[in-house]
Amino acid sequence: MLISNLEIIPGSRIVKHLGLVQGSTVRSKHVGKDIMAGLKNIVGGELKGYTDLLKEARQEATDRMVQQAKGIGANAVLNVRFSTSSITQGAAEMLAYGTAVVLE
Amino acid sequence: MEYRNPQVPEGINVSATHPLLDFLRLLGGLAVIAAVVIAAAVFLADRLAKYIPFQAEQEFASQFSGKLPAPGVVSTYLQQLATRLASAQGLPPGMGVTVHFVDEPTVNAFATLGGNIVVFRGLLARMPSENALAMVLGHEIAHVKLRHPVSTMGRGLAIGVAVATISSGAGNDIAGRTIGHAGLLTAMTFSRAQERAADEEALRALAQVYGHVAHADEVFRLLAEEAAKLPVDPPAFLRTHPLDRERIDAIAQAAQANHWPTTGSLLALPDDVRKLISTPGP
Amino acid sequence: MADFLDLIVFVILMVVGYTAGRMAERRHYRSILAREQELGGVMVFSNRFPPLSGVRGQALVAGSVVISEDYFKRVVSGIQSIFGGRLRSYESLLDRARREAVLRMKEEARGKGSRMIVNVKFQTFSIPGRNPRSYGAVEVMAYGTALTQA
Repeated sequence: MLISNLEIIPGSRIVKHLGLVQGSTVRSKHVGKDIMAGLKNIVGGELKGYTDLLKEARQEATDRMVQQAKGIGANAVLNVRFSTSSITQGAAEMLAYGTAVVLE
Repeated sequence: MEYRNPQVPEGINVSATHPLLDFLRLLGGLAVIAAVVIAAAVFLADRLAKYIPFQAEQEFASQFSGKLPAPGVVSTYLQQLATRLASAQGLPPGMGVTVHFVDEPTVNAFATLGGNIVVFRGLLARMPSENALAMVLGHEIAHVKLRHPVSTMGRGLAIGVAVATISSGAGNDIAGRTIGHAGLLTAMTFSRAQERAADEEALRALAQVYGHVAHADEVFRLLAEEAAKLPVDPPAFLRTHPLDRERIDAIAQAAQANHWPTTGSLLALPDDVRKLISTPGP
Repeated sequence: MADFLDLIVFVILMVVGYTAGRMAERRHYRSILAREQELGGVMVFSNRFPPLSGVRGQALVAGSVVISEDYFKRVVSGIQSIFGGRLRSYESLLDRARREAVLRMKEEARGKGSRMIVNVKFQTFSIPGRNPRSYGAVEVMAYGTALTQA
């Protein structure tokens, strides 16, 4: 399944636009990582734990979007966009959405 | 170019697990973690509390000495008995007990920091013999010898910190308090082990001082009677003291194992003491 | 005794949160499914470029909804966040909110006589409660350009 945030893929033609597909997931890190992040607030620097959290969330959201696309018979998802928001303490929602198309 | 909007399959962005089952599983996991963390905190507190010197305990307790009653005939008698029992138990050098008598009808006695023991008139009046009283005093002295008061204080602090950490993660006040109560219930189990240890020490001292352990279980029979009068019997799990029946049995077993006679001549409380405790005080 | 009162209040809130929450959720999903069938004629795409021919007019349309969590969801997700991983209880909340927002956007587009919305984007916010430790509600907004055919 081709995933891209381009409008048009060079060298292919879009046969059918099949509509909006979305994949979302809400994830949180466990309390141990939260405590480490709290300590990191003193020295600064990258919060590895949260970076990993968002990477996992992005992966899962994309997978779910692809699953929806497959379910309606698409072979590519174009115009992919991501949106993150914090839902509750220590948890973040990652939404991936795009247009499912049939390419040839 | 065709534009269509076929229906997307359901259930991809939601999980199929039933929310109640989910909740029960989470609760189970949380209970396990809470029990482990609290057990670890209590274990550490026990180990470390012993390093607090007894002098520090006494200094801490001396802040409250103004609130304790002045010595009198009864407390002098109790102090003499306590000193005999303390030397029989072999208290380490530098550790001593001070017994205070409180003229109130409460049926209780307790040991606290700095080797201070408090005995209430209510309990004293119900003692049928000096031997039974010696068991009570010996039990409290054993708590001091085994450093239980400072241990319990350390445990309380450790549990408070551990529970606060876990419940802050739960992020909700009432849920956090519920977790706190679960933590306290686990803690009560440990203090019952302390009571059992104190019982054993006291019995040993009794055998040494009097040559037998008659009337050692009297106070527990007394407590069992008092408890039977109450309309509601709290379940065993919620009490800090092991059930009185269990303690009576434990005494009988220890006496048998160590070949201590369970009958013998009993000493009565001195007359002047008995006069003072039978008439209600001011 | 006060401890048991706390526990009783907690249990009552959980039961009410669970039953009322489940009922509201089921009702909402039924309404969503029915309206999705009805509004199937208005198509949504996230493409930026509209089809090059046959477009007469365009208008910005949006749909938004604010949905609140219930007590049961909040407690369950609180415990879940101690362990980390997927917050299953919030997934359905956000799914409902997004689909509702898209449906409201479609309704607005249909009102303007449109049958296609392009360049659809989403925005999600969480609206905190007064107390900093309590989280109140989730807002989802969906917006796009509705095209009317020539």
